[in-house]
Amino acid sequence: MTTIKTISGELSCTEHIINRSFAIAGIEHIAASDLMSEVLVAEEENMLVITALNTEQTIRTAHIVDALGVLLVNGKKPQPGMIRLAEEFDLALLSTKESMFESCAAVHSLLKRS
Amino acid sequence: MIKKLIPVYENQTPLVVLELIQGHKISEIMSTNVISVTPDITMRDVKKMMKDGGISGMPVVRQRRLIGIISVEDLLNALEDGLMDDSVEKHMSRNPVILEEQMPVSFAIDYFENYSYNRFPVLNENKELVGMLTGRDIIMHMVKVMNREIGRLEEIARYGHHTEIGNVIRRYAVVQNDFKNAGKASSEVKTLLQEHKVDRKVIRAVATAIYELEINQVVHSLGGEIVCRISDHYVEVLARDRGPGIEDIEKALSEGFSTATDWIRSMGFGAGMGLPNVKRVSDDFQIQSSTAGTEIKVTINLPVDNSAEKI
Amino acid sequence: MKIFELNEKLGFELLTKCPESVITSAYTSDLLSDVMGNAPDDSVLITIQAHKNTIAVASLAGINAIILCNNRKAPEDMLPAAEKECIAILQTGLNQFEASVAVAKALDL
Repeated sequence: MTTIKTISGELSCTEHIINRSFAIAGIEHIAASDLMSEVLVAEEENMLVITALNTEQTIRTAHIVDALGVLLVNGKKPQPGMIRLAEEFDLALLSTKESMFESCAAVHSLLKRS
Repeated sequence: MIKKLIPVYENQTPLVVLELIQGHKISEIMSTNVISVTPDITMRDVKKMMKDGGISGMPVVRQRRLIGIISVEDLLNALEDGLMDDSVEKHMSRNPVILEEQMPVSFAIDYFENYSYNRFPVLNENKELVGMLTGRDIIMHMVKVMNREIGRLEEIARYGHHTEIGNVIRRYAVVQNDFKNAGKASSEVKTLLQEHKVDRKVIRAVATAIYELEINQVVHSLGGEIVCRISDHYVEVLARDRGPGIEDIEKALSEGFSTATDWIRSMGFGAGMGLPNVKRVSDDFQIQSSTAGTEIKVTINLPVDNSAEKI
Repeated sequence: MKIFELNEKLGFELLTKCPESVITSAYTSDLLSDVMGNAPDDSVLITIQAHKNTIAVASLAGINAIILCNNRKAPEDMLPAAEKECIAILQTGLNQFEASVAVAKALDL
């Protein structure tokens, strides 16, 4: 099973918020986009949102689709308010220095392995 | 640590009661026309003020800072000892117990339960005196809120036995280009539906629709409002804005079409999926637009057997 | 890898003439400012942004091909602009995640 924790380790993430129960929940689907309406198109459950958009709207969108967490790419730091909101909505929030392309490839091989 | 004597426990107390005492701040119910005295006036002056005003206690204030409380009791003591020409400062109680205006009403109830005082001074975050709170203020507030809430519950008992939602209306103002606050309406409605154990897929549909409509107004309109009506069988979302209107509705409803600028795209929007997303998740979708404004009405049905999952 | 080889492996739909240029890496993004600042030279851009401005940014960033995801249609003015800049436009029904995975596999990255 691929958890937020495995992904965090694989991509050497900075963990801003990591909820203990989500840390062991399995990620099953990925929504990778910087445009939030594209994320809202997804109908899957247990998602991880991969994006370079570091605004509160990313967290709001992830909350709407019941995602387990958000992975910020390109070393983007969360904007003020993002962490507080992630905590409020019980979402994991990670950052990685990798690009979205590299993150997608890495997360995919993790998902395939499990 | 103050011992809790009031039988209110966050997990067992009915929501209405919690809302009654936790959902309101002291600033909403306190008296703000406070009669206060400065520390240098005499006890004789205090006696006159209390008699004229029909009051039994006053805050003592120096440059908006509360430094003590003077009560009838202090006055009686001064009278007995023949010290009526002393200054208030000599007879007041120092370090009074205070409330802060941002505290919930439940704090005040605890205070009245735990201290024998009849009134508490209320301070703002700059530690300035902004009001006084008496038991009377709390009773008046309770009666007002109880009237409203019990009326609402009676309504539900009369018309809707099969769901706990009743008929809730929520109204949200949306401001042009305000990306900061966009999404609050959808979060709030989502939480509300979750509390009523509505099916997760339905909640996701409702939250998506409201969110896209909010963003749409932030990005494309001069501002507007979102009104959500949650009834027993459906959620109705009405998004009304003040213009400038949609030029080509058919185009606006086709996936990928957007009139957004690069700036809006850099904010993560303008994918041309907004209205198509709203339409996709709704059971009924109606749109009207002119230069005076756009009105979109969306209905999402709630599962019929919602009653099976009563709280 | 030449663009036509890449596309043979991917099986996406080619919307423009196929330039001779090569692809050595890939970049996935929907934020044009991000693409401008971070996309590597000789790369393929995986995006949802189907409009003319994407071509201008791609050309500045040294991008040789653009993959439009979720079957996003290219507006009329986008294709001639791409051909003029010698940029190939490919279209797929895959989303950005799936397309990124497919490209990573094809380029063996």
